[in-house]
Amino acid sequence: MKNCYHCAEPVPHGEHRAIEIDGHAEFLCCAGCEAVTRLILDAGFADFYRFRTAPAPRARKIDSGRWSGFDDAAVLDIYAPLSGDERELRVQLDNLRCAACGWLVEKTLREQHGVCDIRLNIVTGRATLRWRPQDIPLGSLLASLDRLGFDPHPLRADETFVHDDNRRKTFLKRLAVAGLGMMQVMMYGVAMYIGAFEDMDAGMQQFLRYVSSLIATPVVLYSAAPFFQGAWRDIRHASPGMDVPVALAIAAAYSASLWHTFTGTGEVYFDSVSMFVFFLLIGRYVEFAARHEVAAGSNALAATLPATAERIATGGVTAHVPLTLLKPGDRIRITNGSIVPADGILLDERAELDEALLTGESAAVLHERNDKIIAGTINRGSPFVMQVLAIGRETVISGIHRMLELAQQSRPQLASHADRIARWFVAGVLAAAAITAFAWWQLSPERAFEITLSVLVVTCPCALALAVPVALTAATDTLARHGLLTVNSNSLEWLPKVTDIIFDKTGTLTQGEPRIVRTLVCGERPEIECLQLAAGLEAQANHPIARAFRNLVSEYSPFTQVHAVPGRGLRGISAGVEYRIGIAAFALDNDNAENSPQDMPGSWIALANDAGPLAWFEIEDSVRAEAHGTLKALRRSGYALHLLTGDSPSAANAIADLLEFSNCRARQTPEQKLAYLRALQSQGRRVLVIGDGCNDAPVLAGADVSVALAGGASLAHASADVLLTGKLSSLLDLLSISASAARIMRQNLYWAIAYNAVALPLAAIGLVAPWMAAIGMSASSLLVTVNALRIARTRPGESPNMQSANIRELSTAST
Amino acid sequence: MEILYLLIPVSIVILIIAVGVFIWAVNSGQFDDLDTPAWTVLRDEPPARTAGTRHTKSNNDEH
Repeated sequence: MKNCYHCAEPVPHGEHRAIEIDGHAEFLCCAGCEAVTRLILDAGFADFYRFRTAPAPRARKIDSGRWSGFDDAAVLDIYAPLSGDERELRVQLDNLRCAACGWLVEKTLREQHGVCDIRLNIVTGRATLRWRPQDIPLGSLLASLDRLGFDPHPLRADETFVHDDNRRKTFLKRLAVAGLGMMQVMMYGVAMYIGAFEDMDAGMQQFLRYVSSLIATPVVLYSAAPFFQGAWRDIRHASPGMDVPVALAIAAAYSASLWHTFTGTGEVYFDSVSMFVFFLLIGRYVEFAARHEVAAGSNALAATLPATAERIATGGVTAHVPLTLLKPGDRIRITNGSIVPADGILLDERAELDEALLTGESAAVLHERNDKIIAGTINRGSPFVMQVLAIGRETVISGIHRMLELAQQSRPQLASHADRIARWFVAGVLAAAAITAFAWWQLSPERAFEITLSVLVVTCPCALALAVPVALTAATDTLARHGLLTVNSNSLEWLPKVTDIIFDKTGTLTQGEPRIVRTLVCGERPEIECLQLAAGLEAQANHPIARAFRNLVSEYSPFTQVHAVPGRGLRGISAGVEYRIGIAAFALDNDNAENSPQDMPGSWIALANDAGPLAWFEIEDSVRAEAHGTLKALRRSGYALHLLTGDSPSAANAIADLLEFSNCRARQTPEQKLAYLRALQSQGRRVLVIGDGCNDAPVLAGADVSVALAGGASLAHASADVLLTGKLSSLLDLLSISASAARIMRQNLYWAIAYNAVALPLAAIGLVAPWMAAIGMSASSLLVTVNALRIARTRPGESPNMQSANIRELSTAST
Repeated sequence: MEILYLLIPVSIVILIIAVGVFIWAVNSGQFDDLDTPAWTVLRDEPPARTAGTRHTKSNNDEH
């Protein structure tokens, strides 16, 4: 089976398109791909094919009228404000498969007269386009992006990502001030330490102190501001977190140093303070950046709605308008294959919608007049008219995405372990400081202040404050590189304790796309003719099964009067004869017909005419290639595996036998899945659930850890802790990375506590000089950070001991 | 060592300039996208254009 040169999809039988490149012929799968390939080559962009590392998106025939609504000035003002004679628009692009796609976008747009600048971020797919409206209309620019297959979604000028941008920029500025200030002050610090040994001139000493205080001031007042704000917030809510000891240490060290500078006595700690602020700020920034990687991903999820809608004005005239102009009460027309842009009520008699967005099942659902229709579902039947009820933020899927965002902002529970430790820590340090002050006041009062201060400074909560955030962000980042998006960092705590894993079948263990695996001819017509008839009949439907036929043949028998009976099949007329395809009872027009030829196992549909059956087609949802290997590895590590599916027993047993499941249940309703889960948990087992459909949402929400597949239903995403974007085998990576993350976090916390346990008595006795405090702080912070980096080097299966220890523990407990 | 009384203030002035430049860089979006510029370093020489069948010029490798 040849693959298309442009999009790498299989070239159907009978398709003979080819194009000559670099002296040899390359095949193409369809007219669209051929058109785009010629477009690319004619424009001189052949380098695209040389440099790309992934296949291009399949080219589309587009309706160029679709984008004309964006040429209106009022609409443009919402999306791209005017400045001078230029406008700037942010566009979200999809299907950017590799760097060469980004290059193609930039080249194509830059070549157009009137475009001033196009900047594209390949990772997020967001582009910023500046153009002169009087030279070229936006509609044609969007149309060319659409034609290449990159699915443009113009973004409103007021979207919230601007806010995040500012926060990130402020972080960077604070880091710069802290970093540069730290380097300067530490230089002076070294000079002063050496000077203390080498008899530096008192005037020079004082000068250096003044200069240090000058530079340290913006570091403390500007760069450290987030810590003070956080500490103030914590105190107001009477729940001291990590920010409190940090703010305390910074304030104490800084004000003491200032006092000493102006009175010319004692020690100064400007270098320690600056370094402290810088390191902590880095930790916070890394955490912040990690949170935002995930947020960018979910913005792409939000671009599931189309950019335009076909509105019917009074008088019946339809016009394409940008989505933002829709208002509740508008009537819109949804064509076959389009995505519904807004929540609303069906005005026509009936409609067939693919609600995979919510349920994960692509079988069309039938709706009748006055039924509620949800934005994001796909029209699989004839075009229909609906009335808009809710748009944008008010729609159901917007609510789901908001839930997802809320989940993303959850504070990891491990960090709140550190917070709890911090509470005791603060109390302990203050108590120790008070005792020290009191004790020294009795012994030699002039040293009391000094020593109390060094106690406060040296018991640096550096390691403690950094220990957990750095490990968590290293873990989240490493997971992201393995294709696992962590939505809820709490789950990183539970993962090492998992004993059982529950798998969903469709879409999780299988690809989720049906394929024709066998054709049984039962009449005199040859197989190829049966396939062409079947494909011709199915061509009218945008059903997954229809797609399976399209991949097998390129010529279809022409059909007229095609009529779909939802849930049963299609009938149509070709060359004067009526054919039917679908479930046996429908195709054979006989309610007593057997569902499969000669009772063979599997799912079958039949093609028949009035004379009798012509052919049977076996449809199968293929198992993922890596499923077998992954399950074997999991079993070897000691996990108990379960298969729960809503599908039929025959399909479930087929997969169970293939993948060697000993625990398998079929026809499970969401409630039954949840009950099974609870039964396991009541035995003390910790369960990880992996699934992709809406019928998994309850069991995902109830699991100790839940993993959803990125291609599945959005509702499943909102209930999940981790999103799996790659292959099923990433599950192994998830388990081993979280195990090593937990281990390293524990190591970090132990180190932080040990360090303080040693340093505090030393400081209380008065043995700690400022330079020792400085070295101690930097060494412990560095150690903690470097330790956390070790998480990134985990290999899958590297720590099976952890898991098998759990299982052994469990089995000895239950026997 | 009295020269330090001059040199250190000079270095502080330079420091302030450095911080100012960094702040300008952040504000003008230099740090917005650190991944894409690495990918856009592709050859940009326009290849020879011939009508009909496409023959792309294979340029000499630089390495």
